[in-house]
Amino acid sequence: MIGWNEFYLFGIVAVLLWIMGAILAIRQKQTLAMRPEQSPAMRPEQSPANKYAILFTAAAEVVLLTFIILLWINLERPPLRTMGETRLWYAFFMGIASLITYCKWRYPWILSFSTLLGGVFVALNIFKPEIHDQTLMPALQSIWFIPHVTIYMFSYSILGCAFIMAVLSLKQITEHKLKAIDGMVNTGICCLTIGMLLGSLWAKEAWGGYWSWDPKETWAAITWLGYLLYIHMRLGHNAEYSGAGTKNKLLLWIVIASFGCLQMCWWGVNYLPAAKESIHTYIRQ
Amino acid sequence: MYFCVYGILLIALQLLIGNIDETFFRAPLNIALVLLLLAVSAYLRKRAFFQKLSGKQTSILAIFVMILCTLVVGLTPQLSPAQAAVKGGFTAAHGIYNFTQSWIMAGSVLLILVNLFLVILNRLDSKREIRTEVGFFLNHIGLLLVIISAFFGSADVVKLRMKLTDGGEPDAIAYPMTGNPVPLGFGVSLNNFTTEYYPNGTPMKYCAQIIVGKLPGRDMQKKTAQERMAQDNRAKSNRERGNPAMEYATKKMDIEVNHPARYNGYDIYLISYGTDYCMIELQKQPWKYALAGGIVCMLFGAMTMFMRRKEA
Repeated sequence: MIGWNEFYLFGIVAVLLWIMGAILAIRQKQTLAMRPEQSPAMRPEQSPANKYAILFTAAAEVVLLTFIILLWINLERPPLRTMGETRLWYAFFMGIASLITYCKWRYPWILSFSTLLGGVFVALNIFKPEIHDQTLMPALQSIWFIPHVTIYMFSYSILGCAFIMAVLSLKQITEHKLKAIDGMVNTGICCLTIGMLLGSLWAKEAWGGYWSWDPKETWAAITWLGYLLYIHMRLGHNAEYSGAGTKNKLLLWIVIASFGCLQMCWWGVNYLPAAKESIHTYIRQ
Repeated sequence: MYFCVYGILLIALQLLIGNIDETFFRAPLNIALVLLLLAVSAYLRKRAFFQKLSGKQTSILAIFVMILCTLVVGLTPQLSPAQAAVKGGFTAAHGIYNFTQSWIMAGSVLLILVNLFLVILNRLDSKREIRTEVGFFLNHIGLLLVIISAFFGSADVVKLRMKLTDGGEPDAIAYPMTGNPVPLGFGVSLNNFTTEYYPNGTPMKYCAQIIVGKLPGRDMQKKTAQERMAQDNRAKSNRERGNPAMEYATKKMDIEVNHPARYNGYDIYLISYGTDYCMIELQKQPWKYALAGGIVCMLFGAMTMFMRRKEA
């Protein structure tokens, strides 16, 4: 049976494949830049995505997905409960999100960053494994459980990509980057909204109220409002994409701060004094 | 300028009165208020002040203020009124430990509500092609429904708790968080409480089986002889089936975590348990269907928005 003990094999293979993909994507950027007849006017979205970079990254995803499925079968429950398990999904979705970003917006650096982030998560799971028992406590036995958590993990990873882009854009703002951030925040907030609403429907069934201002819920609301602020500030300002105007800087900082809130929501709340009262704590003491 | 006055007014109210007493706004007052608010906004929406209220700048301001309010909730421990009273001090006295019920929070929600409503009305006027507007309307009308029913409906939520002991006598009195005990009009007793375990010893399933039904001796005077006889017969058959405690119209129900039961307009939840007792919560939330409707609207809205992104 495949369990956490075998994870290092899958993890290392996946990270190596990611690294290959990332290197190929960057190398292509450099070769394009060296061709004088194309490079000056060549906007990133016009350069073709590197087939092999996509292939290697996709292979890494297949490896991780295989592990997730085998782990699921082994545990006899969806591996979605502990931090270690959510890290696994995050690493997986980070790859998917960056692959989409790469294919759609042709931003070659994104694969390197997702490799770095995904690699950190894989490494954490290899070196600091929270070896989990196989059981699913009664509170989590619900049909809402899988969609609620997976869609949140997906939104976390795509918003992670948006965060990386925003940090990079602080140095040099380009229209292309801003458009990519817009796209990612839009997709991310759709998933955040769906995850939150599914959670509220579940909460009604489990605890009796759609919303109870539990610390995790509160921080999820702050995160959601942060991205909501971003998309509303962006409305009708397509003409303002270009230039390093203060408005664009402010928008970038909103993306960065919202991602900070997202981290708070994901794991930061565990360190708040209020967390002791939280009903979202599923790790037994 | 207007917004500054509004903000100062809210802060003054908070300092003078403290948190809002939700029970004051029970139906029909909450319904009247929300209708009045929407009607006034709709009627006056061409005025300059309401034009400003419907603007994008107001949306942004409202979201920003809401973020600040939610940050207060997120950064300070939120306590029950009793716990907050123990804390004492200026901040506790002015409701920071129960900030979701503050005038400041309520004022911010109202600002979002009016802005949202006006934005929707203006968009209806704008006569754009409906296909591209589906996502907008689903998201915004859904959110409007959610805010109205969660915010105004919270005054009508009834939450009562009962502690049931294993094999104990049926009880017809339940307790709210604050205030007087409430007679339910029916009895509840715990038939049995079972816990199933995984092979490694961790709990797999908690299940409380409760018996609900009319208590004997109630309403007997009002009934005709025939009805009384029928009831006696039911009681007899109940006794034979082994439910002597509640003799009339009893019903057995299983309550598990994630699987509440429904009886007499109450949703019944398993809240906690001990060695020989369990705690259940009985809830009435009259606005829950409107709220669920809003949530479903927003779910479809988010999906539409997601799909539109893929097309683009």
